Amino acid sequence: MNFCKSDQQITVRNQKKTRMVLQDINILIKKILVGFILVLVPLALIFGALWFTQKTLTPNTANDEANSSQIQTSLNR
Amino acid sequence: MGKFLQFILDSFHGNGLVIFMLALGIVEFSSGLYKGKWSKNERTLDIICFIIPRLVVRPAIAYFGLKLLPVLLPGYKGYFSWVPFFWGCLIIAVADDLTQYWYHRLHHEVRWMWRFHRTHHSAPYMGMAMASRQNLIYTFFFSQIYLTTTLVYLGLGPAALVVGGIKGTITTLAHSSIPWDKPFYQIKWLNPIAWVLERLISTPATHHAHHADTHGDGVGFYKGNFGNMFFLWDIIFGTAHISRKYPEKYGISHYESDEWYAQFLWPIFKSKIPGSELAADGPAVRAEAEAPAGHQLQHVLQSHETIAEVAIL
Repeated sequence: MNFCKSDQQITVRNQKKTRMVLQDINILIKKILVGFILVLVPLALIFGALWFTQKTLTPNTANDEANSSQIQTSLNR
Repeated sequence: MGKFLQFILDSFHGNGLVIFMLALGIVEFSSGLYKGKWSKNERTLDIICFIIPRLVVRPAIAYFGLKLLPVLLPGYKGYFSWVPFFWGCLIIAVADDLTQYWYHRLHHEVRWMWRFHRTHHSAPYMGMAMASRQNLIYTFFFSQIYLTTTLVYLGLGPAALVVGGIKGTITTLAHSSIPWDKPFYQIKWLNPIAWVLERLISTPATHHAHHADTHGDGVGFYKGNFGNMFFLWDIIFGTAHISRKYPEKYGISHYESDEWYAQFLWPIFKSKIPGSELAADGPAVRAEAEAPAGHQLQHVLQSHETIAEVAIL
């Protein structure tokens, strides 16, 4: 009786050892999450800064017109 | 003149940079700068790393920019196109490179991330091919690429083209085995320019130190010098080392030429070399596995081969 694993069985087992396991998928997911955060944080900062700059630099014409007509009304009384 | 400049810009960022890199590689190889270290395994890996990301990653990023971003940020296409060109370049340069600095630094200092970046450091030589020698997963999930693509969608496209071309040139030259910065250190009247250059951008001297297989010997400094385009980040965050010298040896001291496919696609494929960090049962960081039994290891911010330095009895 042959109690030893055949060479073919050992080769298959070794090949399986070199393939992905659940732990690898776990590491991949963690890595992608870290990368995602590294994109989101600067993006949020830049987006926020540019949006604020745009808002500051753009004249608020609707408010100006409302204020102007209010002033006109008070002057006419 | 404007059309000519546009042509140069488009060409350089497109095929021009690739042609420049290939030409540089030919010069390096012809000059014997690989010093007989370019084995078949290394050659295969370098060529695969040069070609495949351009065929796989670039189309994926294009898909992200053209198809996914309009879904994720509807109505924001070109929202910041009012930003003046100069300011756009500054925003892209800082955002892109600072993000990459931290992405790179984390892969050195977070134990379980090291193996995704190991391929870039495994070569026992330097050259233009090192700039693209990366594990595919590391490249595919480069944070700064997605950040810059989003900024392009938001309207900073022309700036991204210019900065991308400049950054590609600087990083390629920093990895090159041609020490273009040497005359700046040797010629006395160029020294003040050297002082500014080496603190501002990555030079061969500072970046080769990062690729050395030693640390703390006055030249090698793989625990720092993480900057890609700007060395300024290392100055600001205290990870800079300037010696104006070039290391004797590069790579990873315990490197045993892991199979190119394992280095390129870990953890999808693993190395068959026993004890390798890329092997199925291998350690996340090999120095940790080689520490004497009975010692408790303290792992704070450590990169490879430094964990043993803080072993506590």
